[in-house]
Amino acid sequence: MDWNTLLFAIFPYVALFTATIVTIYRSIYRPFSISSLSSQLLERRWLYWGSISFHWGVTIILAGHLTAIFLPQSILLWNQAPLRLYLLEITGIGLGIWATLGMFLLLWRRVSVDRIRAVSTPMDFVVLVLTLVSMVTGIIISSYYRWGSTWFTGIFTPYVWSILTFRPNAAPLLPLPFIIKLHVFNFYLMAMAFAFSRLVHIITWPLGYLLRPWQIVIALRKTRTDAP
Amino acid sequence: MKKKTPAQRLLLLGLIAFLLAGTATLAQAAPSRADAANGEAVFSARCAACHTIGKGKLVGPDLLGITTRRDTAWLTAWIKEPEKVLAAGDPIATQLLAEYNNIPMSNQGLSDAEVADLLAYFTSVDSPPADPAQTVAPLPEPLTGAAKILALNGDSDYGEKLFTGEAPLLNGGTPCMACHSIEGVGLIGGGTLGPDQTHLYTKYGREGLAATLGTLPFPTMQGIFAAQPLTISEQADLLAFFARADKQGQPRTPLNLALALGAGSAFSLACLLGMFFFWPRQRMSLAQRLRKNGKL
Repeated sequence: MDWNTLLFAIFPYVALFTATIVTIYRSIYRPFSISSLSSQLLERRWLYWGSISFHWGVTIILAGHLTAIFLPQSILLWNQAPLRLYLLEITGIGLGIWATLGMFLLLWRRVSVDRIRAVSTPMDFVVLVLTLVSMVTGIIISSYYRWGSTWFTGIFTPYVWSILTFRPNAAPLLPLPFIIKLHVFNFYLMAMAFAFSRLVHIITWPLGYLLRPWQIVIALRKTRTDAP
Repeated sequence: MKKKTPAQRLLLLGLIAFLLAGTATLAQAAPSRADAANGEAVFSARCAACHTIGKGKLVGPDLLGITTRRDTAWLTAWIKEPEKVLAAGDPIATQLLAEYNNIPMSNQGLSDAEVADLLAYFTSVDSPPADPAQTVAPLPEPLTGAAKILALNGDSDYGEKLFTGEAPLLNGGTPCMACHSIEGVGLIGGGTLGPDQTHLYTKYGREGLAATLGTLPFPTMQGIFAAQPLTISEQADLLAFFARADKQGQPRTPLNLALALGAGSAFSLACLLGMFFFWPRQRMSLAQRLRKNGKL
C-alpha cells in the first residue's frame, strides 16, 4: 500500500465515518453543544467585516464544489464558451479572496481582541487554521492551476463518486501537484475536526432560522454607578 | 474534551478497527516473479505511444537492444522514476533529453513488479530463448492507429471546438482547455494544470504527436482518458488544429495569471465595497446606543 491510497482512499472513510458518528452522538447526548457560540456581544465591528465576507464567500464556493460533484454536466455546458468559463473562474477566485480576507480578519480578531481571546478554545484556532489552509490553497489552485472548474469534472467528480459509492479509486490523484493534494487532504482533516469543533454548526437543524426574521442580540446589565 | 465516557471509548475502538480492516483489504499481495508476457502488455499500454522495438524512433528512442546498451539498475531506476534520474543530473539521461527535443520521459506510475516485467520483456526480445516453445509473441504495432490518423485529413476548426469544449468529446473526455493553453484561443488563455500546447506540433513532430494522441500516455491524462479515449476522427481534427496553432507566437502565461488574479481581486474589492453600504444598516446594540446618547 502506498501513501496515495492511505491518504485519499482510506483516510477519507476514517474522517467521514468519524464526522458522521460523532455528530450523531453529539446531537443526541450533548444537544446544547451544537452551536458556533456567537461572540457578537463581545466584539461587533471586526465580526461584521470578517464573518460576512467569510461566510458569503465560502458558502457560494462550497455550493460550486457541490454543483461540480452532483451536476458536472451543468458546469461543462456553461464552460463551453471561453468567456463564460472566465466569468465563472474569476467569480470563484474573487469570492475566494474575499472569504480569505474575511478569515484573516477573524483570525486577527481572535488573537488581538482580549475579550474574544478569553472565550476562545484551542479547537477554535484549529478550525481557523484548517479553514485558512483550505482557502489559501484553493486560491493558488484556481489561479495557478487553471481552469479548475473544468478539470474538476474530469478528475475529482469521478474520484468523489468513487468514495461515495464505496469503490475508492485514488489513482487519478497520484500525479497531481502537491498543493491540490494538500487542498483535498485538508478537507479530510476538516471532516475529522468537524464533529469535535464549532464546525458542526454547518449542519445545524432545524433550518427554520434561514427563514425566520433576524434576531438582535442584546446584553442587559446593571447601570454602572462607578463609571468615570 | 473531558474524561472519556464508555461510549466514547467504544467509538474510538470502533474507529481503530475500521482503519485496520480498511488497511488489510487494500494491502497488496506480494509481487510475483517477473513475467515477460505481462511486460509486453504494460509496454503496449504505457510505452508504445512514444517507443517502438525495432521500428525506429517516435517521440522517444527505439528500444531494440536496450538491455545490452544499458545496465539493469539504470533501466530500473529510469523506468520507475525518470524525473528523479534527470534531476540527479545523470549524464545518460541528460544526453537523451537533449537528443529528443527536451521532451522528458514521464513517470508512468509503474509498480516495482511492472518494471521488472517490462525488463523481462525487453530481455526476451533482445535475446530470444533457444527453446522455440517460449518464443515471444510478434512485436506490437503501435503505429496502426497513428497511421490512420495521419491518413485522415482533419478539420482544424472542429479541432479547435474540441479543444475549447464547444464540441464535446464523444467518449466523454474532459475538454483540452481545462488544463492546456494555446496562444490565441480565449481572451486569457487556456488551463495551466498541464503544459502549454501552442508549439506541441514542433515539439513532438507530426508522427510523434499522432501516436501520442491515441494513448495520451501522461499520468494525469491517463486518469481521465484511459477509460474514455479520443476517437480516431477527434485525434485527426486535433492534429490539424495543433498544426495550425504551431504558427502562433510565444504564450503569455504569466500575463494570463496576472489577469485572472487581478480580475479576481477586483471582484473581491467590489464585494467589500458593497459591504460598506450595508454597514449603516447594522443595528447598534443597546449598550452602544446608550453610550452614544450619553446615558451610560
